[in-house]
Amino acid sequence: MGVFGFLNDVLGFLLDFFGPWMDFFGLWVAAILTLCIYSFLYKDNPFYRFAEHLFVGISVGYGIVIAIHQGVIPLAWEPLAEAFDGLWIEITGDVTPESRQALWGLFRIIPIFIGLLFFARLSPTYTWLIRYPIAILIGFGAGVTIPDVLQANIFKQTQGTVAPFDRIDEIVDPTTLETVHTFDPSFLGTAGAVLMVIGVLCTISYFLFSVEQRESYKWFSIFGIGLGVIGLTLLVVDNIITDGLTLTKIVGFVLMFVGVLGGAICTVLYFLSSVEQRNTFNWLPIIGVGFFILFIIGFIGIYGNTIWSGNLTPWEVFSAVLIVVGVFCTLTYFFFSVEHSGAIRWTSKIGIAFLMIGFGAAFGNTVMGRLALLIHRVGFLINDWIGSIVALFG
Amino acid sequence: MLEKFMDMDRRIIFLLVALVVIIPTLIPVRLPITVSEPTQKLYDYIEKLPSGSNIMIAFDYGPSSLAEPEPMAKAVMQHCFSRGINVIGMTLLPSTVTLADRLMKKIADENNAVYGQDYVFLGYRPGMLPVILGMGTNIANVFDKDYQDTPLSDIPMMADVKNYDQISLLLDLASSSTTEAWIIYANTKYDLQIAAGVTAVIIAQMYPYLQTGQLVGMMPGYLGAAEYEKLLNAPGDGTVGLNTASFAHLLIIILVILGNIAFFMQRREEA
Repeated sequence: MGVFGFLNDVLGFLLDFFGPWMDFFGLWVAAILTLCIYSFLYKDNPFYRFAEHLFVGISVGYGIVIAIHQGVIPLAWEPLAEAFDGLWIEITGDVTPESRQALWGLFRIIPIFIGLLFFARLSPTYTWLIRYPIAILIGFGAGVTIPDVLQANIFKQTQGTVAPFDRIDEIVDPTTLETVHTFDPSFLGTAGAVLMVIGVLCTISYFLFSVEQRESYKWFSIFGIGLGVIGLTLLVVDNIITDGLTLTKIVGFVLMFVGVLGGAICTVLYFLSSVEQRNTFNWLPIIGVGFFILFIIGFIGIYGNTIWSGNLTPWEVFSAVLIVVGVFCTLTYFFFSVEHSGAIRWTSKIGIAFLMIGFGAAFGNTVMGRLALLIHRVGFLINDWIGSIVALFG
Repeated sequence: MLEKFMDMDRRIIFLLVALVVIIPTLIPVRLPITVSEPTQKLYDYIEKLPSGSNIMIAFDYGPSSLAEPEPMAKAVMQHCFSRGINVIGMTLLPSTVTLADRLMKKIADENNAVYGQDYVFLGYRPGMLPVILGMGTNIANVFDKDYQDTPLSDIPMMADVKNYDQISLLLDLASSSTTEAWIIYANTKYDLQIAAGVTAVIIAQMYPYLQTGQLVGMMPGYLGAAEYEKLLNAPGDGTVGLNTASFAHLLIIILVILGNIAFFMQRREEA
């Protein structure tokens, strides 16, 4: 019997002997260590340091024991032991389906060997071997992680930014009880929408200052605006064909066209002007925004009844808009390819406000979390520890 | 007076915080609780599950952060057992194994649940990523035995549970980034429905996932536990903790306001 076996027996004896008192003993140890840790609030002292070091030591020791019992033994040791048993049976000739199945455990030698290469770090001569397990880990991690992280944290989150707007035209079909969308443009409408998207992309490309700016870019953006206008016309025509023309729609169309054309003229003028001219006519972008608002009013006038199912409450609409505005402004703050001046400066400032609110919420929650730990410990000291003393003498 | 306030010994603040925590603990006060949407969503989701469904609970918190997740675990497990929903427990952290095992046994005993029929605890396996991904293919490939060394094939409850396809919900009780790992690998890859019960420290980073539907529901800290207890009409540790926390929050708000007033007054005097 080795030293560990002897210690095991001694511990077993002590546990049996003091068994009924172990919970009470544990309670006292926990209470005293809790008080030792909180004594730091008065000032640093040996009791705090003792408890802190004990905590770190026990955490590491406990973690290693659990990793061996729950990891190394069931995943490496036992399958290998069974595989070698199976191999012995294979050699001696008394083969069974179970022994044949256990042979697959021999393949575990490969990952075990790769894992053991981590210990090459301890040898100055063979320390280079550690590159192999690290390379495998990084390769596996990157291969598995990148597609899923992109999907979960980029695509889904981007989709989530505009997802609330998707509910605007949702209604429940009373016959099938399925959710359907009331805003369903025809082929003409779809073509118009596609052209509008292309127009927007062309226009945005003008603002891509990360690539070399050429004269053709300006015309490219003007071409984009033209496509947008055509797309809008198709959408309007589609709406007239589908739903007919009313006075509200006529006003809406006028506002939309004035908005689009006015906005387009402002944009083109802004694009074609020199830096000096832009400084002189610095009100031009504001007028452009005004035209954009006209466009939005006209759009709501025409499509309001079609796309609004009454699903979203005003608060939900506000939240949905707030998300989009928050994302846009915050991203603008981190967009360092353009100088933060004028409208971009103000947009990024709003982005900073959103960031600060986010950090504030995180900090407030952190305080709440720390208080929860204190409340739990105080509850333990009062209810469990002092409660046990009262019960003992009461 | 102002200088005295600004130079106040911080230990006085510690003492005040200790008092506002100790007094409500000794003299419990019941404050009204309003159930928030994330907790309601989780409750509704579990409420709609048919009897015999399987829920997996991942106890992904350490001993240093068990104050908030434990009341959540109690409330959800109580709900599951009352509705005949099976609970499969496991953890991605080595330090939680015995805590989770003991907690599950305690809650099961309180609700007359039987091990192997109503609940099972699988324990811990090293490597977060391979564990989450591996269970998507076959749980038995990762956990061939439960924490008590019983082969999964010998556990009646696990007879029809092969992988995530047979699990209706994974509830991650977390104090770190494990919930994100579950979302990224189990939800994205295997379409497993995920809910979270998280400590207050990480609430803010979970809300985007809630908004996109990647989380079906969430219990935020003590508040979430207390709300769930209210939905069950069974006040417990969460309710007690939240009531006590409310007084501490009030004190902190007052101190923040006083501190700011003193700061601006001092700045004005210096100017």
